[in-house]
Order: sequence, then structure tokens, then C-alpha cells
Amino acid sequence: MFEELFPVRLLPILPILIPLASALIVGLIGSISRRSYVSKIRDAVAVLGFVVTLYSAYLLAKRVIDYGIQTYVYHSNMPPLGVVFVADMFSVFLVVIFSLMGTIVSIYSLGYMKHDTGLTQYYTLLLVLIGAMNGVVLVGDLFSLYVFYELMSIASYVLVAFRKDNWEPIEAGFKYLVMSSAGSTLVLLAMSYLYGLMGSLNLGYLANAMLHATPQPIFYVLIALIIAGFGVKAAIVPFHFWLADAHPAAPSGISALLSGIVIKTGLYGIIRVGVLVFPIAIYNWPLLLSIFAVITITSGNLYALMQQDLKRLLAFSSVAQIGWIMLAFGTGTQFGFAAGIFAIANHAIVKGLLFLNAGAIIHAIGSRKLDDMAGLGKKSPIIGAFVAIGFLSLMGVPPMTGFWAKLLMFFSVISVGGIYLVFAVIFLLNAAIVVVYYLRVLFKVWFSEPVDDTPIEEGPTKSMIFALAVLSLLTIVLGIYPEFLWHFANSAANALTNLSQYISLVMSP
Amino acid sequence: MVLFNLPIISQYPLIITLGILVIGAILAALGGRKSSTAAVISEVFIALAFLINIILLYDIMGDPKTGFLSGPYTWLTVFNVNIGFWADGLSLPIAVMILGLSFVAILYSQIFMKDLKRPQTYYSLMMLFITSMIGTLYSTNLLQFFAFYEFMLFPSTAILIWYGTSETYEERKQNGLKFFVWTNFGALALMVGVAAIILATGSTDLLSIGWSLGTVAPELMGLVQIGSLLIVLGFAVKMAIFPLHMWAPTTYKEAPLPLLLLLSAAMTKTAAYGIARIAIPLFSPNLASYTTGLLIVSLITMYYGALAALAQKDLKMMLAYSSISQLGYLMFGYATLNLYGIEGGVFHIINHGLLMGIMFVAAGVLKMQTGTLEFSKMGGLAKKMPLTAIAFISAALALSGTPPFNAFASEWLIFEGSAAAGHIWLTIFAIIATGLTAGYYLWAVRRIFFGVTPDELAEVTDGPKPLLYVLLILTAVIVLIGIFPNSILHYIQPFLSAIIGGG
Repeated sequence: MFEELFPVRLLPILPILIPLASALIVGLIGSISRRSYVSKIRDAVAVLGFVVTLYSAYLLAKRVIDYGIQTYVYHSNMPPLGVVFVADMFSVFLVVIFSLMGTIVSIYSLGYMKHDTGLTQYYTLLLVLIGAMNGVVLVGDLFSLYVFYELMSIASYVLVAFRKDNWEPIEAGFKYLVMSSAGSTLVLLAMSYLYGLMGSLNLGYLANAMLHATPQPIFYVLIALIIAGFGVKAAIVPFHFWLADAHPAAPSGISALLSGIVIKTGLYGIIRVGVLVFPIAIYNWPLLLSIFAVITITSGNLYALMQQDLKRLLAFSSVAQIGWIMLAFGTGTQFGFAAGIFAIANHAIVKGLLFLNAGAIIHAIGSRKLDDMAGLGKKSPIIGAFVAIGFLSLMGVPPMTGFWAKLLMFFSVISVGGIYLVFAVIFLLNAAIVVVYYLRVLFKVWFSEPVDDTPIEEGPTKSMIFALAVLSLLTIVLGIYPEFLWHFANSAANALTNLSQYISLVMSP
Repeated sequence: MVLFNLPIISQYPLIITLGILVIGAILAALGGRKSSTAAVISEVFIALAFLINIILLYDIMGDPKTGFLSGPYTWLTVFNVNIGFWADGLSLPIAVMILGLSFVAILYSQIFMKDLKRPQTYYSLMMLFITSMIGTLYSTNLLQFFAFYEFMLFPSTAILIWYGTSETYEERKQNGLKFFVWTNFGALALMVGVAAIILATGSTDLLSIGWSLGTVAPELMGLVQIGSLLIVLGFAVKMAIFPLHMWAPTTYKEAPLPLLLLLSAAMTKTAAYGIARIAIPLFSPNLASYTTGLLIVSLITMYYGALAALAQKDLKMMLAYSSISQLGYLMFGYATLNLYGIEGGVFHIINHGLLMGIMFVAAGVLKMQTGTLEFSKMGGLAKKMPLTAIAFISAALALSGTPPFNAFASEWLIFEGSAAAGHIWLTIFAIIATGLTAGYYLWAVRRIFFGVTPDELAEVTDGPKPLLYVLLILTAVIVLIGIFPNSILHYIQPFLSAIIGGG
């Protein structure tokens, strides 16, 4: 359908261009007037922009599956000077997830944000955020990657502090800004060093040069800088402080995006740069990543155990989940990569569901406190059902995606052997801890007497229910038939381990 | 296929059985605003599933080694995880028993729990619980087995908390949580064990697990050992084997009688089935050295259950502890790791299930007619409730190992197995435990059915007709199995002799 409207040559940049262009249009429409029909048109255009983005992402994915890696050279300059956009399976997998989550959150926001003002800015920033994230995973050189990364970060700072009448979002947004800029600085430092050493920032040239370079101490410093710099966005412990403030303070749709996908871009940076520039066979950086990972899992879970606030609990649970995903990537094997990519999709869907549902809960009872949620399942069975689906999936109950994600990650860790067996034991201990705090929420919602008989203030609107239902169905259906997701995760992992084609195409598209 | 040649059903009987149960759950949830409607919907669908399984059982009578297979269908390509449904002489009799008991449990809920709150929730949860138990029995893949096995927990915990018998909500929540956490950690141990086995053998196929051991490299045998021990540990939690039984007394106390029937007579049996299907093939070649330890643990379980049962003042709790004790027998049979003992253990799955069915239905009738289950408030009821008394006394005699009832044969096989394994003293202690069983059951019979009738119970009559029929049918079945034990044994023997050898 309409496939001819999407020129094949432009496909690798369409998932970036379309949201950015839509952002412009939304901004223009929104500034025409404040009448209600204008804002309705504006909202519709925003959602439409996301749907078209998703469709272009789908076309790109289809193209990559059928014909292999796609490239697009911006400007007539060839690399190493020109900017190369390159879509392999790993990028495309993430682009589809980002666009899907963006679409769902935009639909959700139609109902959720209707009491807020400044929605023009909201939708514009949302579109910029998704466009920039697609850019991060689609570019083939470090400088452009950094540009899109910063664009994404700036959009997300503003979105965190979107409800600027309260103190909490402002403080959280500021904290996030400071921490994240510090991280970006480290990344920039590492990049400038690499440029000084190699004379190019094109990932293909870098990979090629580093393959033949003799290891020097400075390379290990660069690895550390890359992991720490991107690790701030990925909320690796000990760089996670901002997350517990920023994710709860943002509007729920934004929390879902931040926790579900934005933190994955940090991980993407580590993995993409690490795999290409620092070959695993020479520099054993996955082990470092694994050590960070087990610390992240354990502390994320221990923090989450103590939370009384639903969104903070979910935020810390995200820290733990990102740790799990890092541990899978930290195995350095194709199986581990595939398991980690599977888990990225799972976490995006499930954490998206739970944060969006937290928004529905805030509307329903006007509170984020766990204690106020007692008996919510009775008052509003539909919200309760989403709570149950989300938490059970995160807990790893078959047949939902969370079960497969955990199982595959566990297998990937245990099959490495050696020190990873210790990590596997820590993995299991943490799998036991999460049951405790997820059960706490589940029991609160479903098996507690309500504190009072007041009915819920405001039920979820149709658009919110639609968004939540899509995510719930995804986690259940993809869990009943995991092979679909696994197939793509596996080919994405394959793209990460067989790099020669990527390298040669980025060098000479 | 002897009996029916319908095109689709004869091809996919097992998938259709599960489908029927799931549809039953959905319809009960949608259409069951009235308690009786939901119950009738559930009964109809369980009866259909039961019928299909009876026909299958009849079909394989000639050659129990054959089974019904639907699938395998690709589920996940990593580790070649295939989903499939398989029923043979080992699983079909258990499936028939569980479906039969499920029907009884629903009928029983219909009669006893007329004023349920939100009946559609209750009945659809019961149906989901039953579906997952049957799914466990049909699984051909370790992960599929685990998925059904784990899923069982959720409906049962929800029923336990929402429809528990404790007065305060807090207490129900606490007991439900205890049940959930214990059994969930059992499942976690099972999962890790399964993961170890999968890593060692590279196969997730459940049916060929014993044969795939032959391909394991010698340095991975340690992994297999750890894996098998964890699997047994996981199953032992659900079977409430001492000292992993902590969840059982509180849960049994909390559960409403129909759920208790399913928990103690059906759910624990899925774990017992799992041991026979998964753990025994893994154990029998490698781990004969664990026999003595497992026998002793089982013996402790027997005594613990029996002595605790002796101390109870209340029939429901006595039955609950008796159930723990009886599962000790089952484990005792398994632990011998020879054909007699294991065959006795598997046979005991069915016998104990049926006997617990009788006991809990009889207890329900007593509770309904007299309003109490405390021994001190009952007495002399044999004259007032003759049919209930006959069923109860038969089951009590059977559980104490009296011929010609069914459990005599299975207990005989279990003891023969342990004697053949050379553990004469342990066998003697186990037989003494049977004496204890006889003691507490007959004492209970004495206190309930004989002696002086209290004045409050002067007007008591026998229970509602449908349940009396159920009791009589079940009693007839246990007598028939007792007289013709081979009718069941010839189903289970081929699989077991294939994995153990001999026989």
C-alpha cells in the first residue's frame, strides 16, 4: 500500500526525515491558533506522522530482510567525509521498535494529555525525540551519531520537565541534563581521541584501522570512556541517579519512552562502537560490561525493593532490566546478543505498558503511592488486568515474552561458562528478588481490600485503552509464538557478529 | 482409533481437549453471572474433555505403548524447542483421573457454594487451573511442561485468596502468598534443573530425555546430576515432601473444599507425574546412590503426615495431613528406582487421587449436613448417612492398605520395590506407618460414624443425591481397580519397563 510513495533510495533516512518533518508541520499548525479544531488537526497530524514513520520503518525492514544492508549517502561527498546512513538488521530492529513505541505513545497521549496545555510543544518534541533516536541507530559515523544523540537528549530533557508548574519535574529535568551532558562529554572526548588517532570518524574506516592496530593502553581508556559516557544514558549503576527522578517526574507517556527505548540508545552506542571499533577478540570489553551489568541488576533490584511509589519502582526495575540486557550482551556471543536484543524488545513493550498504565492509574486515583492502589483491581478491572499482564510478564511467567527473554538471557550467560557461572548465580538470585516486589504490587492491586469506597476519579479513555491493549496483546502473542521475535533478534545479532559487509558498505557505499 | 472416526477429533484429540477446556473457561467467564449457569457450563465442557480421554484410553488398551501425538510444531528454533501434545499409557490414566475429579469438584462447588460472589470468576479460574494441569500431562517438551506447570499457580492462588475460608482478608492473603512463594521457588528450582539438562543434552524433548543422556559428554555428567537433583527438589516442593511441605498445611486449611480436592488429589499428582516422566529416566542410570537418602526423606514425610493427622481435631486437616503422608509413600516408591517401586508409585498416583476424591466429597457431605467437621461434635452418623459412611469407610480401609481395595496393590508394589532394593528395615518402618494410617483413619471412622449421636445431629439425613452417586461410583471404581489392578498397571508398565529395563 502506497509503497511507491516511499522511494527505495531514500528508505534508510525516511524514518528520520518523516518524524522531523512532521514535527515541523505540527509546530506550524499548532501556532496558527488555539481553537479546539486546530488542536484536533494538530494531534491527528502528529499521530499520522508516527504511523507513517512506522510504515516507513516497516518498509525499510522489509527491504533489509530481502536485500541486505541498505545505505544512503548524504551529500555528494563520499566517505570518509560524507555522512553515510546505513541500515542493517540490528538498526532496523531498533528503528521498528522505536517507531512502534512512538506511535503507541502518541495515540495514548491523545487521551492522557488532554488536560495539559502546551501540547504543540509536546507533540513536536515527541516527534523530534523519535526521529533523533532513529537517527542514532541509522548513521554510520560517530560524529553524526553524536549529533542525533544530543538532539534526542535535548528533546528528552524538555519532555521530562514538561509539567513545568511543579518543582519535581524541573529538578528532575535539570539533574538529568547535568548528568547526561557529562556523559555526552565523555563520549565526545573518546570520539575526538579516536579522530586524532585514526583521522576519521567513519565507523567503517575506524573498524578497519583498529583491526590492524596494535593494542595500546589508550584504547582501554577509550573503551572505559565509551562505556561510561553512553552508560549514563543507559543508566548503568553507578551512573543511574538521574533516572529514578527523571522517569517518574515525566508525563507517563514520556516515562514509557524514556524507560522503554531511550535508555536502549545508550546501550546501542556501547554495543555498536564496541563491536566495530574494539574487536571482541582483541579487547575483552564484554567482560567489563558484564561486571557493570551484575552490579546494575543487583542494585537496581535492591533499590526497587524499597520503593513506595509505583513509577519509582518501575524506574528502578528498568535499571535492573537494562542490567540484564547488558549481561546478555556482555557474553560477547551471537547467542547472547540475540537474547539481549530479544530482551530489548520485551522490555520496550512491557515497560511501555506498565508506565502507560501507571498514567491510567494516576488518572484513576490521583496518586502514585502503592498504598493507595489497594483494591484497584476491584474498582477498575481493566487497569488491574493491565497491571497483572505487565508485571507477570516482567516476572517471567510463561507464556509471555518476559519468560522467553529471561530464559534466553539465562541460557546465553550460563553457556559461556567460567566466571559467567558466577554471574548466572547472581542472575538467579535477582530473578528471585524481582518476584518479591512485583508480587507486592500485584497483591496490592488485586488481593487487598480497598482503603475506602470512593470510586475511581477518571477511567482510562478509549485511546489509552487502545494503546495499553496493543502492548498487552504484543507481549502475550509474541510470548505464545516467540519464534517470530526470535527470528529477527537472531538475524540482528548475526549482523552484529558478521561485520565485514557492514564495514565495507560504510566505507564505500 | 477404534471407537470414533470423526475427521478432526481423531486427528487432534489432545489439542481439542485443551481447546474445549479453554473455551469452557471463556464461556464460564462471559456467561456465568448466575452461579448455576457458570457451573453447568464448566461441567459440560469438562465432561466432553473427560469423554474424549476415556475414548483414547479405551483405544490404546490393546497396545499401551502407542500414544496420541499432535505436532510437533516449531516453537522456538534455538535448542529446537518444539511444542507438541502426547498422551500414552503413562499420562492418559492420570489425565482421565484428573478430569474425572475436576468434574466432581465443579459439581461439588455447584451444590455447596451456591451463594458465591462473582461465580464467573471462580468457575473460569477453576477451568484454567484444570486446563493447565491437563496441559502439563500432555506436554512433549520440557519448556512446554514448565510453562503449564508454572501457569497452574496463578488461578489456584487467586481462588485461594478470593474464595479462601479464613475470616479476615489479611489471613487469606498471607496464606495465599505463602503458597505462591513456596511453589514458585519450587518452580524456579525446576527451571534451573531443566536448564542444566538442556545444556548438557542439547535437547528439550521430554519424551526421549532418558535416551538423550547417552550422547552427553562425560565431563557434563556433573551438570546432569545437579540438574536432576534440582528437578526432584522442584517437584518435591509441590508434592509437599518433608521438609519442603511448609506451604501445605496453611494452604489446605485455607482452601475451600473443592479447590482442596483439586490441590491435594490432582495438582500434587502433576508433580508426581513429572518425576516419573522426567526425573526417573534421568536418575535411574546415574544416581542410584541417592536411593537411601530419598527413601529416608520419604519415610520421614510418611511419619510426619501420619502423626500430624493423628493429632488433628478436625476432619479437613486430618485429610490434608494424610495427603502429605500418602505422597510420602509415592515418593518412597519412586526412590527405590526399581520397576516394582516406581510402578507402585505411579499406580499410587491414580489410587490416591481417587481415594482423596472420595474422602473430600464425603467430608463435604458431612460438612453440609452437620455443619461441622470437628470430630468432637460428630458421632453415630452411620445410621443417619449410610451411603456416605460406606464410601468413607471403604476409602479409609483402602488408604490403610486393605485388600481388596485399590491402594493395597500399589502399596504392595511400593514395599516390594523397597524390599527388592535391599532396604529391609526401611520397608518395615514404612509398613508400620501403614499401621498408623489405619489407626488414624479408623479412629476418625469411629468418632464420626459410630458412638453416640449428639442431640444437635438427631435430624441429619444423607447428602444430596448427585454427590451420593459420585461417592458410590468412585467406591465401585476403587473396588474394581483393587480386584483388577492389572487394568491400570498394564497401561503404565510398558513405559516404565522401557526406561528402567526388566519387568
